[in-house]
Amino acid sequence: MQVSTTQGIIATITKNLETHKDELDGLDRDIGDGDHGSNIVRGFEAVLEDSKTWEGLTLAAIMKKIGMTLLAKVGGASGVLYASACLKISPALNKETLSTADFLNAINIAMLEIATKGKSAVGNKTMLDAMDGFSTALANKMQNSDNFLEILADGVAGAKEGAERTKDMVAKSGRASYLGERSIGHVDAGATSFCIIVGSILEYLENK
Amino acid sequence: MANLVVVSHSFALAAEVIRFAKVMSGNKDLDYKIINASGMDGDTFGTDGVKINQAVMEGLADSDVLIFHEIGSSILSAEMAVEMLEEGFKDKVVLARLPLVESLFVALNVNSKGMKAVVLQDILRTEIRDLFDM
Repeated sequence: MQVSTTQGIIATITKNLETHKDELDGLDRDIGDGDHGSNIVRGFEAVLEDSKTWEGLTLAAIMKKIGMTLLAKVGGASGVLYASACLKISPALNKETLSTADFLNAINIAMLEIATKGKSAVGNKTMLDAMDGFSTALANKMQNSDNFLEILADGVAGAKEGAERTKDMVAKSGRASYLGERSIGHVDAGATSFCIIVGSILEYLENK
Repeated sequence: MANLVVVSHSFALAAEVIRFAKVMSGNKDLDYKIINASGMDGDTFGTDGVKINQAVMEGLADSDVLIFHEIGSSILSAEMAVEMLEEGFKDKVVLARLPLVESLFVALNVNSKGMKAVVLQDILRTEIRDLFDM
């Protein structure tokens, strides 16, 4: 993948997170501490600034830099989790060209890392539910398509369905878990930001 | 004796907790470091894993390190900061996993020459259990 593509993806993610910042803060305010949008936007704005220095770097090296920037700049638990995922998938991206299978593998590594670090699981009303929807849809579409954009589009739709499913879940991880049954009826903010991130990757690649 | 790193979402809160622990234990001269690795840039609430990693490295320069923290990302960020250390350093760093205010106060009373971080943490666990009658 060309550095300019990665830079373009980051710019699109940042733009879309900025657009949805208040919405993400609002979702988090319903069942958490209300700063997910502000935190994640601050993190990606720092990544976007850092992306000016990426010329000549491999995707693996860039992913590591993204992880370190998110670790320093987001400030909340979601930032540490996204950061640890980036650092963990970095070695798996250390190749010339990436196949859709490599992409799926990276997502699954990220999920495992986030579940381990966050002591969480699919079904606990977290970003993992959107990631699971994404990963499952990618894997399904790969059975009958070789077209990356088609596969990715299905993945994004799967992520949104996964995020939507969090609405009916009782939170079992994070601060929302203190609310127990009262967390039902609210979509998880982390699941929503994950949808915006993968949706932005699709948006950029489709319009490139 | 262990060097102490304090991680809170709020730099000001951690600074005050450190002051509280010092004053309440008699304002003695300390022959170990207490490093405040709390908060984000400015007065924004949050934790910065890179800042914590640097504080831990500073502490590791002449001893092992016990990290005091509070909730949520202060724990996750501290864990990441330890994970990023080179092998051989990781086992010199321990997370307290105890209530911040009380455990830092007790630490300033019992941290003494030659005490490893893991031993200090063990003493703090016992003292905190006694304190809260748990």
